[in-house]
Amino acid sequence: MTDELTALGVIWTEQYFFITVVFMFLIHVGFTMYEVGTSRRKNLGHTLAKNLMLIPMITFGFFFFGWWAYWAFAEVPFGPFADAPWSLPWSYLMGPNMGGGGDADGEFWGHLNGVFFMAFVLFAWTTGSICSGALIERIRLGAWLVLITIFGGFIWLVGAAMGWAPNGWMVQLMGYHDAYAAGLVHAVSGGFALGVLIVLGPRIGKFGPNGEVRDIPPHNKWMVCTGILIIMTGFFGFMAACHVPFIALGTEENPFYGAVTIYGTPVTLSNMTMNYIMAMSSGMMAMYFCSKGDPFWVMSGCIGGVVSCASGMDAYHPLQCVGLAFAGCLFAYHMHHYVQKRFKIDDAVGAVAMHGYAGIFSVIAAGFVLWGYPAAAPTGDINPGWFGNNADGFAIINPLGQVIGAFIFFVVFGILPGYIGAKILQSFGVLRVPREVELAGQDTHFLGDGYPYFEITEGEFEAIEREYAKEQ
Amino acid sequence: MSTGITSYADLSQIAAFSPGAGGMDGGGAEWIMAIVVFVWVIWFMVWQFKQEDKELKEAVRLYKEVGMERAMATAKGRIATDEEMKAIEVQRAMGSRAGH
Repeated sequence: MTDELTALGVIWTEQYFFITVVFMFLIHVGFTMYEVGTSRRKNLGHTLAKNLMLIPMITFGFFFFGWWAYWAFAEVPFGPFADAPWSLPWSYLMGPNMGGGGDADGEFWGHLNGVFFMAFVLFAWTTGSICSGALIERIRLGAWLVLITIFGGFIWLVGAAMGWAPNGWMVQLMGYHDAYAAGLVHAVSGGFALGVLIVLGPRIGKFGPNGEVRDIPPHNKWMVCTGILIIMTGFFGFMAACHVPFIALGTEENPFYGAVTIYGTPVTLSNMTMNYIMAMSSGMMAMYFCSKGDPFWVMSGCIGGVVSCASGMDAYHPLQCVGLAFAGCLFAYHMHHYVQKRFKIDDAVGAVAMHGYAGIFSVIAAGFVLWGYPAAAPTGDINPGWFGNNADGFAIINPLGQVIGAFIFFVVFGILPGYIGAKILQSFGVLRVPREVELAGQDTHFLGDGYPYFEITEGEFEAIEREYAKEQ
Repeated sequence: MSTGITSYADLSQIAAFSPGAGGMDGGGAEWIMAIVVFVWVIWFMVWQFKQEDKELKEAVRLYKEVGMERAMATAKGRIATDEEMKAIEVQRAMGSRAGH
């Protein structure tokens, strides 16, 4: 990097993404607390193990396949596999490299490959964490690890390549727009979880003999709620990582520098932050209203509100976010209860609702609210758009493109692989723990009581209290 | 064995396992390392399935031995002790007398 502006842009981008990655780690901390808190005391060790082990498995899956898939599949099947040598596991650009020697790829990717890679790894962990909660208390750890390595480390990235890159065919041909990944992270993960749940079945006793739905309360509501607050803190990093922070948008005669979405459309951190908080607040109020103040659902409304707006949050006014978050949460909450009752789907944490249904809502809503906005600049390879272009030849955001996009992510990259993967594991008898183990608790034979000292402490204090009671 | 690099003068050549051998597409020890790590991950999966299967079978055998009622009694991730079983029985008896 020989000129100062290029150096500033590249090095600032490197620092920026590093910070987003650190923030995004909190998403995983939060999900772990949320799911362990939701599980019953007899299962919390296994729930924790499930969350911990998705970290290395997805990371390795991503390292070998996912990073390459994100770059290679953008135009497939309407164009060839793209060449992306920096994403291959054996590339020297995976290691420390500062560019130089006139190697243009080295100058750019030498600084940015690692932080881009890590941002996507953290997105990938998020897809795993979203699925994880829905399946707790009955899935085998081995089955879970296989499913999530393939999904989190590869499958969702094929979809992301097509719908979350400026040259993706869904973007260029359909005008698909999903700036903060409501469809291609949230809906796809909710769909995958639903596909697995259909095969996995509900926890023993969740549904009564007459089909009545029984509540299985979390073992620690404080942990659940704090976990979601930590997720929301981490999501600031997620949202920021959906931006490219510094790029030249203008011409040589009229220079203009700013941040862009992953599609290359202009955006500001300022507007995103305001929209994020407004959507979150609206989602919480919607869920307080729906659930009559149940803290579990109120906190889920944080996520549901943001996801409901995420597709178009780069271009919404905050008041649009308020309305969409409210409507999206109502839709997700009622869909959750309808599907649960009608199809006996036991989604333990409401993940399919808050990520899947709210994600679908978000993608489709953006098609109407942002109808006519450019989806991305044309790349020259596979445009113009099927469903309309603007005067400059940019594919426009439109309802049909968004509806088809929501279907592709929720069903094609979500439910189908989840269902097929779970069916294969079930056919080998390795999907679900034996009935006896589920009834006794997944921790009973191996990890043991997650709170071995609680009873003794409580018992001693109760003995003291009883002494006081005798005195009166 | 020396890498052959003796300075940081050529910044683009710092990272490779075999500097200069394969460029962007690799070509040196990178391939071998990638294969080794990939095999390790696959082996780990197979090992996990095997040891989990063994563990679950042992658990089912244990629960049949002690009885499911006892295995489930505490609902806290451990099998109930004799004292706990007695206490639970007393509690249940009191509960049934109270009409619960």
